[in-house]
Amino acid sequence: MNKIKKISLTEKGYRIVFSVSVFLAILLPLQLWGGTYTLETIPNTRLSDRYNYVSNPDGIITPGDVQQINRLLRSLEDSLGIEVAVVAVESIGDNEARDFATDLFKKWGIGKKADDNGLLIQLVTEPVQRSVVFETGYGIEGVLPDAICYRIQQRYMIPDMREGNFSSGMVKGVAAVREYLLASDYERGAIVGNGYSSGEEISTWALLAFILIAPLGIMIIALIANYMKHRPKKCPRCGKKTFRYIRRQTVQAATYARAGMAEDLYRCSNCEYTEKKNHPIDRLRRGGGGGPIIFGGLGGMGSGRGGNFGGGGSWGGGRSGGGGSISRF
Amino acid sequence: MSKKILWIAIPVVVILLLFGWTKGIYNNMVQHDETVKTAWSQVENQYQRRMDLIPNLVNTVKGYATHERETLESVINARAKATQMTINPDNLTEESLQRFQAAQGELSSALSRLLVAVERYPDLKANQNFLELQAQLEGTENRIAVERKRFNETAQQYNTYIRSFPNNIFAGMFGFTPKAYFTAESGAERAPVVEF
Repeated sequence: MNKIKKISLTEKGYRIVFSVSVFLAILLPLQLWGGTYTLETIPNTRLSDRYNYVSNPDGIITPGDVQQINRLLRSLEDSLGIEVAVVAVESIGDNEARDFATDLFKKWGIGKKADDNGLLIQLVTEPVQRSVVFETGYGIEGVLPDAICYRIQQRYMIPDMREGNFSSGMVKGVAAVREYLLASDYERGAIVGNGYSSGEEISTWALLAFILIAPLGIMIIALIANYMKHRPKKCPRCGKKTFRYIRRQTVQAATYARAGMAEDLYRCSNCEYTEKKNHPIDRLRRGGGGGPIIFGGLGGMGSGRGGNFGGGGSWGGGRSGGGGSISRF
Repeated sequence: MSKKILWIAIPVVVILLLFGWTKGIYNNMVQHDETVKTAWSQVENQYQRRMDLIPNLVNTVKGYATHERETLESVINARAKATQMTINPDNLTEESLQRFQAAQGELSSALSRLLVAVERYPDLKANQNFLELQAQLEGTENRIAVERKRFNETAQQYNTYIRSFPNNIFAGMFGFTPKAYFTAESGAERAPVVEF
């Protein structure tokens, strides 16, 4: 509608509209074909956000449903330690869906390393390979056998997906998997105390230790520096070890325009020999002189913390061996 | 005096170096060997899993497909044959692996014949129990394919290691022989493809 309006304006306007529509005509099919992914190009969302289990580069799952799935999967991981990855893409090219899932599982290492308790739910919507694949880690093959995977797919996912409601089908499937696992007799490895605690906990401890030790270290260094400054040195005149630091005097205060000058006063308490050492004072800066260094340090610590709690994360390094099930539709 | 010490020290150092070097290579070979054996036991597990599924499958089919006695029997016989066929992982030679593959391949083709025959029985195909068994069978076939691939990968690493110079000299001395690979599947050996 916009186009028609503009064409009636001027020749120039017509040209612009023409070139824009040519541009769009080129871009549109590109957009349609854009959703072809390989193992390397499928975004591993968990790397940037520990609690984002859904890789949804083509927007097949609606933002609201992504949130819903993340909520479900986070509570599942919190209670059982099972890691579930959801991948929804338009196309994986010529790759076979099932093999692709096995390879992707291996590449990402879904599930905790000690327990191999990962699950990959992969949806491909392009007609040739259109399918839902569950790839189960070695550790949950027992509680989530292939027959159950197949049943969940057929009962909860395929009916919606056949109608084109990929997003709602995925939510229902994830909810069903979660319910099933929570009701199963799967026991979390962490309760027994292996595996789960390794990576995350160690870094938490390291952080704690760092927080406790770092100020201590700074204090010790400051104390040593202080001692070095105040400790009596050999007097150049009388040779006794009574030559010490007295105070610092400002000769010329620093301003925003130029640096200042201070002098350190040393005196021997034995022979009253006095020595002055000049010491430049840095030019003043807007926003506080020494501040940036301290804030810089704190900022670094803050982001380190972010990496451990709630920021980026990764899958636990679990393995799978082709278990699970595929439903084409 | 110092020359005498040198004459003793040099051989000692050389022997120590040789020892360390050989030890490294030998232990690496052992490690590779163990990796291959683990991969092999995974392969055997998955084949075993398939054989465990078959009685259940046969029983389910029997109830519906009354005219398929012959097909069912061939599956049962092939399974019995495959059960007897096991390989000692220390003896993963081309010959033994081929025999293993032949026995399992016979079972595979009998199974796929059964699954084709089953197409004629709509009641059976609508049976939830059968569908889930079929999903399990399919999952198992997939597992077999994956573990076979991984076995081949580890075997290849092992073979490359023991055959490259100078490891090949030690491999011969310590009795590390090359491991066989699973060969590409012939038509009959391919996992049955089931469309829903």
